[in-house]
Amino acid sequence: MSYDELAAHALATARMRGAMYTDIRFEDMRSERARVRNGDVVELRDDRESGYGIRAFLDGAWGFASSDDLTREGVDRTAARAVDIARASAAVGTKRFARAPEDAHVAKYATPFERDPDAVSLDERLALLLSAERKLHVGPQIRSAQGVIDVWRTRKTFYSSIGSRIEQDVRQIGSSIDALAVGGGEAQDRHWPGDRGLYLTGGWEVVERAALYENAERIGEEAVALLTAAQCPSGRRDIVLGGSQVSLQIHESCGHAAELDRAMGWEANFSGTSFLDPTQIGTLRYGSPLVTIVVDNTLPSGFATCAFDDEGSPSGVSDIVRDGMLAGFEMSRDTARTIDRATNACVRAQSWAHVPMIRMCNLNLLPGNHSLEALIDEIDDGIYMESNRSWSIDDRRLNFQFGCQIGWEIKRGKRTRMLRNPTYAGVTPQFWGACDAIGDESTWIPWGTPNCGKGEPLQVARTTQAAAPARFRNIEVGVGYDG
Amino acid sequence: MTGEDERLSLASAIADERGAADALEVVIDEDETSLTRFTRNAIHQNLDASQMRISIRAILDGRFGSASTHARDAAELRATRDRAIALARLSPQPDPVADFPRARASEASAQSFDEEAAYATPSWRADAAQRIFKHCKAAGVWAAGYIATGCTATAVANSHGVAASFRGAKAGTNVKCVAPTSTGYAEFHADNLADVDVDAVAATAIEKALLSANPAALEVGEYTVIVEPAVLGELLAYLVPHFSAALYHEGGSFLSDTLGSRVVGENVTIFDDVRDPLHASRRFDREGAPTQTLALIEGGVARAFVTDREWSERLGVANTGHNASDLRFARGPMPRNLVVRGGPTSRAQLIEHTEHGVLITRSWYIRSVDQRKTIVTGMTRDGTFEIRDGKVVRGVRNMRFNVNLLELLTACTFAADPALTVTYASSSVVPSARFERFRFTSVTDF
Repeated sequence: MSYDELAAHALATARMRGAMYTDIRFEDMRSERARVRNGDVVELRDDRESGYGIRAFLDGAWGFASSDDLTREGVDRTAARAVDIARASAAVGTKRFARAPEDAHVAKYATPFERDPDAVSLDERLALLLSAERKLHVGPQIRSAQGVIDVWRTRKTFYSSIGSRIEQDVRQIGSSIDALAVGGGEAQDRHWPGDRGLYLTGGWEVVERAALYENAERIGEEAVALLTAAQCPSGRRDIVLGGSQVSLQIHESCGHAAELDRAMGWEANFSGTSFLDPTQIGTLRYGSPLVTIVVDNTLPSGFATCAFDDEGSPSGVSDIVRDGMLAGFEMSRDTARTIDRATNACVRAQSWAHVPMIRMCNLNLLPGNHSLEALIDEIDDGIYMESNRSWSIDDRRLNFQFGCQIGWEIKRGKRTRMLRNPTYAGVTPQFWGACDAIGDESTWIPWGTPNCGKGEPLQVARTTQAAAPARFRNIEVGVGYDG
Repeated sequence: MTGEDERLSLASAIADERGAADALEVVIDEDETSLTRFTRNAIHQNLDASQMRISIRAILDGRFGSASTHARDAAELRATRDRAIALARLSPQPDPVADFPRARASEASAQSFDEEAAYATPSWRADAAQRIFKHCKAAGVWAAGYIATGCTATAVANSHGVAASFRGAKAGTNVKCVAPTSTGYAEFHADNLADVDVDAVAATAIEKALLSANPAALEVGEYTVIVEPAVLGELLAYLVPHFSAALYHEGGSFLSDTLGSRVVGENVTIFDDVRDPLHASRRFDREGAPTQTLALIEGGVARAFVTDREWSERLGVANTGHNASDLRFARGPMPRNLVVRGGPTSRAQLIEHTEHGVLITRSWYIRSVDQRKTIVTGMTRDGTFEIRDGKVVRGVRNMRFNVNLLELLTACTFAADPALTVTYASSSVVPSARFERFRFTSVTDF
């Protein structure tokens, strides 16, 4: 049966059983991975799955059920289960949700790309990985090195009982290399690009942009050099963070803090709550006036870019922080209503098998007007840090401690000696309040995060935080080590 | 859920139809999870998810290829097998140790399967949630948490005759209670429904929330700390990768230059033991090899690392049955079922014998700062208390810690209260523990 036919059965079954609204989201997913390690091809995968998730709304409560049984009997059974679950929720406690969705859309979308990954042979993919990985082995201290290429294609078809039919063909792709150097009781690793690779929507051009081969030798050399580099000093310094580390900073201290479901307590027992509250919109100073952070789920090549979210709302652009002031949240339809706003389409599910929930999608710190050299030039005594290695933040998204793979001391505007184990710590609004310069558009990169965890059962989302390098004054550094 | 015999028969049948492959391996994973999630004393998310994944690995001329599907019809299964073979054919070089384990006699997994846990209804979970809400409302707090039930199954078969099957039920709850100035937490996990006492879990979380009201700020520094099992489990999760043959061989593990040496206190023995009654997991790995029980650390001495078929061949040692290819970010074999033997004293006695210290109910966002040196950072959460002269005297604000795990385990005492605790990639059966030198480096305002 076609998805149109299966959807019609599912929606009819749910309606007959009392649902006031139902949606069904079919997904066909293909995931390819090629991984090499120490000269061997260790993983070649081509995984495919198809299934659907059904949400039913009844008497102010939602129920969700999913299955990979793509038969009429399967969709009927799953639709009935979703309604039963909603009914069980509705029978207990406070009615959480005011009303069912009301807007419907009929649309098609496909990720634009320049070079179709399907047209790139496995030979070409492996040749790139093996040649780049080989160059990481700059000496015997490199005990392990690997390279990875991931290609995902997800075809989603969304139907709702109020008339939505949305088809989306989303292509995501990424690549990375890393090297582990060991010696003298130390182990240091370096990754490229950034801390987990370059992951975006698009085609093979994203892999070409990562320039794995061109950077491999330098990455291997840096891993070895870190073994004998000076330990990052402890104290307070002015710091410049590389763009991928700023991306991680945004992710942990803004993106998660600004999830409205979190602020409302929906993640309280697990991922936590937020120090942000909707009543603070327009009045809370989140950071310095240079800091503007926006949701843009239409961002070209954004890792989370698509035309509609997983509850059928159209993507757009909205402010989270504007000129340092809290301006909004990442929302769903239900949560947005509670603060008299329209959704900004930040609902995603890991797959057909998972319930849609508010997720960080594409969240971007708008660029400033400094080159990287200018950011460093205006520091007398500081540290430049690049590429995340360690990340930890409290369950309200305030107290954080992060570590990077590599750093350099800055003395009188110049990078000097290399530093190993650079770490820094702070409290979110004070930290962003100390931001006094941001890199310009030439240094601004959308950094995809392929492994953002949230929810129970745990879901993994693909997010973007576009960022340039940025400077922060008088930050606590060198934490976590005794020396 | 598919019947156990049917699942294993399907895996074996697929493995027997090798097509062009020299050898074939089939892993069938089936999962049915039902979870009712709540916050502010109301259900906000309620779901049911079921799926079956069939993963096929092919070897052709010493080269591997892998493919998977959720389809069960014969044509798609053959197409999936052929995709795996095609990938193997395209791999440019053979793997010198490419093979699958050979069939050997394997023990039956503990096969108690609790049908009540596997097939609990939405109404049962909703009623259980309502009991939690009732307790919380009476105490003037609100609850956030979940109640989960379901079942999971794995069947592994290969063309060398390996055939292994496991099916297990799961049930659990966690409850966080939120009072005006404080929070408290409790959890419980089991493989049967009867053991899950949501009323008791709620009562513990409520008690902790109320007891920690108006938390005071402690000075940062080094303290004697008592951690509950959930915290010890999460701390030890950051030692787990060190016991992988891959990391050991690469030199990134503390084991790399201490195997056979004393690394922690003599009272510390850490097993990987899937046969512990509280674990109730499958007793074979992702390749169908029997999972051995190993003393990883014994009497404070680093004793062993875990292997799978590949690493046993590479290092010329026995296959301990710890292949973890289902963990996307694992670099090699991994222990999955840690067990720490408890001590002779109760948690209450640990507290009584503490002159000045901190009791930690739960940790959050523990992450490695320096993997080789076993330094981690993290936060306390949901019930942190000051101990003075053997008594819990007040709640304290949450704090960040930076600790060296091996140093912690050099001066520690374990209680006699082992509990099952679960993280993303592994589960542990661990007791409460007292650490004599636990360093807090900053304090929050909550």
